[in-house]
Amino acid sequence: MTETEAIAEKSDKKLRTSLNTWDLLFLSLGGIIGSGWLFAAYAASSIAGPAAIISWIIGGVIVLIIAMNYAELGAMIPRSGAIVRYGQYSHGNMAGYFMAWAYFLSAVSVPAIEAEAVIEYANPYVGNGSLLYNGVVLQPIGIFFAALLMVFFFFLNYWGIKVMGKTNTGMTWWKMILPLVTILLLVTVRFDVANFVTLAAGSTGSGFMPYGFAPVMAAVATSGIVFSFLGFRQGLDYGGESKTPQRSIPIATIGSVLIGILIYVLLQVAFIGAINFGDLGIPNGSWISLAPLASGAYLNAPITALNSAPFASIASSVGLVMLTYVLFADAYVSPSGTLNVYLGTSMRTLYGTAALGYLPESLMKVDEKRRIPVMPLVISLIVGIIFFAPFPSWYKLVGFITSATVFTYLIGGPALRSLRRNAKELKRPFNLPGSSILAPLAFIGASLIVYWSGWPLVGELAIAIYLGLIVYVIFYFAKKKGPSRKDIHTSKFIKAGLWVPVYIIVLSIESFLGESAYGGYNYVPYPWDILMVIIVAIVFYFWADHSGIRTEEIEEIVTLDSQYLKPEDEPFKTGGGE
Amino acid sequence: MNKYVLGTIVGIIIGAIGLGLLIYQTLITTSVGVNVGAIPTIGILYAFIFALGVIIAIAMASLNSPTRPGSK
Repeated sequence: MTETEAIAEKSDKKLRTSLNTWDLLFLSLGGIIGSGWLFAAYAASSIAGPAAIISWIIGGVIVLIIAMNYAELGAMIPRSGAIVRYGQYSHGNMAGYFMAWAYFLSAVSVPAIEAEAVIEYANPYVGNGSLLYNGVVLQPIGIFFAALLMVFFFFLNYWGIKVMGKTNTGMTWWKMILPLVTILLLVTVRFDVANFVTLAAGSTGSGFMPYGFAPVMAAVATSGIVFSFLGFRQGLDYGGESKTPQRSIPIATIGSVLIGILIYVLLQVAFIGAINFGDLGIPNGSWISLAPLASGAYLNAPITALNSAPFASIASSVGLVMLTYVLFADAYVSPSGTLNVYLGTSMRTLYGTAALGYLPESLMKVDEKRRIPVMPLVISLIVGIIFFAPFPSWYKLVGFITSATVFTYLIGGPALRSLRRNAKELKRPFNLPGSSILAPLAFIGASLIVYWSGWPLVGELAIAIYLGLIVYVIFYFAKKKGPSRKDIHTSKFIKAGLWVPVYIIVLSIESFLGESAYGGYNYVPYPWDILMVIIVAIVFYFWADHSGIRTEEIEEIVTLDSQYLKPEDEPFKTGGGE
Repeated sequence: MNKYVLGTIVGIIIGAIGLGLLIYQTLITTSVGVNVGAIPTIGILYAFIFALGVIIAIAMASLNSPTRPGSK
């Protein structure tokens, strides 16, 4: 065992294990019901029309399949900051590093997104309505208040996992009940069935799917749908602090996505049924008029108001005054709750990355009193605030984060299958049935979501991931001089992880060549582009699956019997794997 | 009475005050319509107080819930 691994092992044991199944489920749900529920229904219907409902189902099912793969890994090896660690466990240093880097990029920026969502929602009530946010980007005073919000939740996390977890439970109850009340009231007061079938004059296609199927899939990645569901990872990332990980992690991971699908599909249905085209000054069925113009502004004042506060605007327009007030209040509560959760996730990601040896060992130091790693929390706060600079608007950030996060989920399926071969002796409290099908499906699904993020975003993601190489080289030379991890850069690890840097390049090329609805140059139009992505994904899946090795980390977990499973906990019962 | 029970009661009181004020504000609000910018800001504050009370009450009640023997 290297020095870094020994410290990581010690630090893992110092973390307080005080979260029960409900806490873990609510952490995942708290990540899922954030700013997404306030904005994504509007954004999705402006892209896909009423067929946005299908977008939610597609996005939800893909994320569910990905989550099921991680449920087995999470229950098998529960760790804080788990997601960054599984790539390393199954495919060694190179794949582990790339995944950790991509996940780091996404995890540290989500608190910034949620803080921005709060400020954008508050904007109409402060000053002249453009003091905090001018409709396109946050203003300096808006950035100041967003940073202040992050500082508040920094302290909530600092008080320890128990206070943070229970506060989140309270917030998540609120966040779950309010969307359900909104659905019930909107459907009761105003629900126009014609909105689901009316086709705008001069348009072709069907009223339900006015712009064809390609935008339905584009909406999955770019309107915040997948972004909303990605919160399932909290159950994994906080898994090392669970009292009963082998039972709680699968329930939290899979259960949260299922509840999320139900709530979001119903919200989308309620939103579409409640839209009054006459009030908005646009023809019936003209969903595309809700989208921003090339300048970033909106067609008229009512649409601008609807965009800034979609559900509150609708509630107000149908006379639901109390709901309007509560929705505006929730615009602060829901994203704040998600900010609270993700600040902790960001901290655990940094901790997990340090435990792999890619960041200084000081980031693994667990505070004796709080029993959390304090330094990663401080860094998460600082880096999150820095993220306000290059991406100063909610919608601009979402696409990038979704792609970066989903890219890291590519490894879930191959990791599960290769660990079944290379770590047969590890106990599997949750044994995913049909994994030979579900693992490649998760890989294909994650590939499609990255592709749907569109060009040039996928290219930008590739650049961001390759920038990680520079950090890797610095890290390599620094480590080479030190006493630990002398074999960090062996050909074994390059062979096991080479598919990762190659695949991001291939995905970028696919995105460049692909359908124009996803920003590509239409060399491979729909539906051939989808076929291309699926076939290439299958090839890369088998490459990734067969690249898996028995790593030192797995060897140590087996040797030291350090799965951290609690003997008193009942395992999760399933139909069994194959 | 431990600090968590006290916290739960405080949360319920804050929530009840917020709800009362919110109902009052709802009854006197006349500006409704798609332009939500016209809605009085004070109502949002009352709704926020209500939400805060609910969240504090649930969080404190959860913190007060008994832990299983042997758990940390």
